[in-house]
Amino acid sequence: MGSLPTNTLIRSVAVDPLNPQRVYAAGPAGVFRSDDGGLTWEATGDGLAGEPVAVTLDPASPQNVIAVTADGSIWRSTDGATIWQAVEAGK
Amino acid sequence: MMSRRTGTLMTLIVGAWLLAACANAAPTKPADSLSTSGGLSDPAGPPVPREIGPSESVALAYDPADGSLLKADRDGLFRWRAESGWENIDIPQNTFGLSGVIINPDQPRMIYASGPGFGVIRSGDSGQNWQSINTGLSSLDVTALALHSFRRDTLYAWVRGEGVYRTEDGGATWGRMPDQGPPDKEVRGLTHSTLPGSMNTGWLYAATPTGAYLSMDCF
Repeated sequence: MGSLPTNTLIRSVAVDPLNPQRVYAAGPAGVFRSDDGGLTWEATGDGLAGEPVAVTLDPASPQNVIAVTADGSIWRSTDGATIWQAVEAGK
Repeated sequence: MMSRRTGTLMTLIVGAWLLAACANAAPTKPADSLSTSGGLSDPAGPPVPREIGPSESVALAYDPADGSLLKADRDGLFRWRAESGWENIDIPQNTFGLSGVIINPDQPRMIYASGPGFGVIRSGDSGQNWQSINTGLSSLDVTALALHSFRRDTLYAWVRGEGVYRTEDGGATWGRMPDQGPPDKEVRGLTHSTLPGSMNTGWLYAATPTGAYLSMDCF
């Protein structure tokens, strides 16, 4: 576990409504996940290519996390951002 | 009063905010599960994907009614479905695009969107009809929008150069909160959290060009 990169653009934050300790942050440096409300962070992104510009999740099944990258591609993870798969290609 | 945990969070998340007025808490209520079918609001052709610049805002909202995805950005508001891809959603004309989009998980036909120079708009029919809900906002320069985690009539808007505004009646009226916001005032996103320790009903995270910030106290 590590900290969020400092002085780094974060465009979007998403919180697991069933477990608010889990937080996701997205920016050009990647999608980061915290399991302690932001105390520590780890980079996710296995399978995710490109620069994330936003992240959200399914509030009823919050392990389903969705990100969009700068080229317009949509990425989905069904395991809390550990593994990502492309859902829709950008240009 | 601030807990030890709160202080630690404040330090490690890059920064923190100042106090705000407080009320009471209630349990979080989750919404429906995912599927990929459902009604659609006016498609006007798919957007042309393009690179998103560093100064632009992009917001996403998952629709629990049908598993679709809403995206708000400089080009407007779009809905993505697995079977049909991206489709435009018509919104009132604005010059500077959108900065935020919210779907009420308990009432997914209720959508809110915000934009700089545009304020906040609301649709109760999945985006077919919209109304402006800006009464009480000092400016229409709204760069971020958040929905409370369980009080579905409570939303927060970041007004550039002003700070955090709150409505507790679904946008009928807004009032400025006594909070100075994060050190970096270029807020690109707001998110409410029920992280423990709040004297009120939760916290706000802010996404900014210099990192993510957690509010120091209650929202």
